Amino acid sequence: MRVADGVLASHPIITAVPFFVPTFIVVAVIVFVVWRDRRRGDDDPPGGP
Amino acid sequence: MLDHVTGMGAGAVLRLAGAGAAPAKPAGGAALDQILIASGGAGALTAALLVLGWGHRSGRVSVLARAADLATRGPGRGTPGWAALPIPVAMVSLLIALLGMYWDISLHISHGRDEGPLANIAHYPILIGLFGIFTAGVLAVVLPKGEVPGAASVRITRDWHAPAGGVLLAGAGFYALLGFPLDDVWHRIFGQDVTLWGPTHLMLIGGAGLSLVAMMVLEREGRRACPDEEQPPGWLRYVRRCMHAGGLLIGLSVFQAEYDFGVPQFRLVHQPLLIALAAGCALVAARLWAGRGGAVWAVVFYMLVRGGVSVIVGGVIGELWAAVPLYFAEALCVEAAALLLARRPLALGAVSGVLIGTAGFGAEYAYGQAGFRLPWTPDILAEGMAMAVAGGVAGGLCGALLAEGLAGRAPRPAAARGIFAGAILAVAAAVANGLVVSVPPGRTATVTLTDVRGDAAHRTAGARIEFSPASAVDGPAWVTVTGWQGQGLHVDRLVREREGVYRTSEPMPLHGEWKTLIRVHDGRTLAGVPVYLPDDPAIGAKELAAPAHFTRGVQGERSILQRELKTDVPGWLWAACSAVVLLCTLALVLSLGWGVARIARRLPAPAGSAARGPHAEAGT
Repeated sequence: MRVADGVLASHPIITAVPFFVPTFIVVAVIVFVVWRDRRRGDDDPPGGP
Repeated sequence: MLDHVTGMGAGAVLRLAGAGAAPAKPAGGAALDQILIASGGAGALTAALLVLGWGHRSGRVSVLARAADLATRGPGRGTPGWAALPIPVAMVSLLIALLGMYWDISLHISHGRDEGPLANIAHYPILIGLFGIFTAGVLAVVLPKGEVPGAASVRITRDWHAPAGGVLLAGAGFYALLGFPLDDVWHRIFGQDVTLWGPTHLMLIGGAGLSLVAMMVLEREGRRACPDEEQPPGWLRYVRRCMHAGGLLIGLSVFQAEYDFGVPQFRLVHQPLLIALAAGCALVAARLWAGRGGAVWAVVFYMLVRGGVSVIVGGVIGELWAAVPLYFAEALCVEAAALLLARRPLALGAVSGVLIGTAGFGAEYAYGQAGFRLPWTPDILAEGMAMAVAGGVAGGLCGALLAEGLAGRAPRPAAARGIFAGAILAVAAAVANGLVVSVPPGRTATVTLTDVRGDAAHRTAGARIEFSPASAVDGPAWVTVTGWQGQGLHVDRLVREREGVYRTSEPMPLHGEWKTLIRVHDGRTLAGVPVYLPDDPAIGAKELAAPAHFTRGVQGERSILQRELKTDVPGWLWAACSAVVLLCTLALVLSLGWGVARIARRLPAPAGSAARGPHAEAGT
């Protein structure tokens, strides 16, 4: 039992990293592009997705 | 996906990876080098996607543009590159994910939980498939350059507009992939839930299944963006639409997978509900969108793909066979109703739903006697049919709304929203009804093992089972001995000797990692009697031996089937976590509804076509 607890504790959510971090990075890049565009353009009428 | 016990292959991988210090069957964690390999692969994919996307938008890399150009001359012709390329990418990804999903469920049923997201080989096709769906969505978002992709497109920046279908497709893929980390968190809080219908598991399959709606929206936007002279031939459009609708049928059918394999952990009335819901939505949409015969051809496509997956998993890979619901009768119901009602979509949806819930239910009932591992019985006749009608009508109305939106027509927004919300509520109510189960107190089962064979490592036995009181089991939905997770699946429908007394028809496994129990389902009663459960130190569960003669109480199944669940977690925490998943799901479903409404409003059918019926505007 103690051994099993050790395995659980030593493997945090990191095990799921390859499953979602790439997606999050792509989304973050797109959000960054949108944010940069919105910040730059005061002349543009507001609106968006 | 359903993360549970060590499989043989997974265990071998773990040993090869040099993680020998881990116990034989840990209930969480994964070998570090597997994480590194998977992270490396995923990182490379991400980098490729970012470089290609960034390069395309800045004009430095032309790979995407050329690939999209190539796709417009293939099966995607008649649509611009931003629709022609992503749709086949998403289709192939969905097929890979579907194969991985059935393979994975099969592995979990026969081998139990695995050590973590990476320990099971079938998780890789799921991961690749879901990432492929997300990639397809991102491609559709990134590809349109220097143009506004149709009136329904979404503004990303001042000079970048993306088709709504692409945004939805990426969103569906994102939602599905979000299921992985949430699944891991869930397992750490509550223990592993060894069922398909864990909230986070539903995210994984729901995101993939519903991405078909996003693909349909994208196809519509693409075809409207193409000039008239470049429209594809009619037969190609028909085939594509039937494939999309058949894909939606497959996507909506994956929720039944536990029933397909014969180890449902919920009441049997869910199965007719889900079959009717899938049939109503996908087949009504198929008939209205593709035209005459569309529902039948959608089922043909479904049968090829879903049947093919069963053959590959059960025959080629050598895992378990998953039953394939027939759906042909339901398709004929829709086609028959459409003979009269093709021009009144909502009426067609409702009438088709009623027919699917009655005649379709009857056909599946008959087919299931041979086709399902747990055939339907008179016990579920009345309630099952009521559930099927509810699911069929709700699905049929949603399918009609979807097809109308795709044709550029929509009922008044208030009416559409009302119907959509009503359908969601009706399905929610039906599912909630199905989830209400009871375990009657004070009942016992006396088991006498017969014909015991083999030593401790190979022990099998028949059994005679006497329930007390004898009237406790009366016209049940099932009385089985079910054994699983011991390198196989054993489902034996018991033979009735007299009231309350049953016997096995084949020897049950009582050794090794098998978990063997008697299952009783009668009306709202859903209960089990453990016969043999192995020692499982990783989750602190002790062996339950099967002596030659014993009497045990009839108890709730959850603690037997899902031994990994932690019992000390407060109920409010479960409710709160479920609410988070439910909110994510509602967000996805409502987004898809928004997308369909948006193309209906922004890409209306040309004036006059509404009066000529769905076929007349085939060119739009």
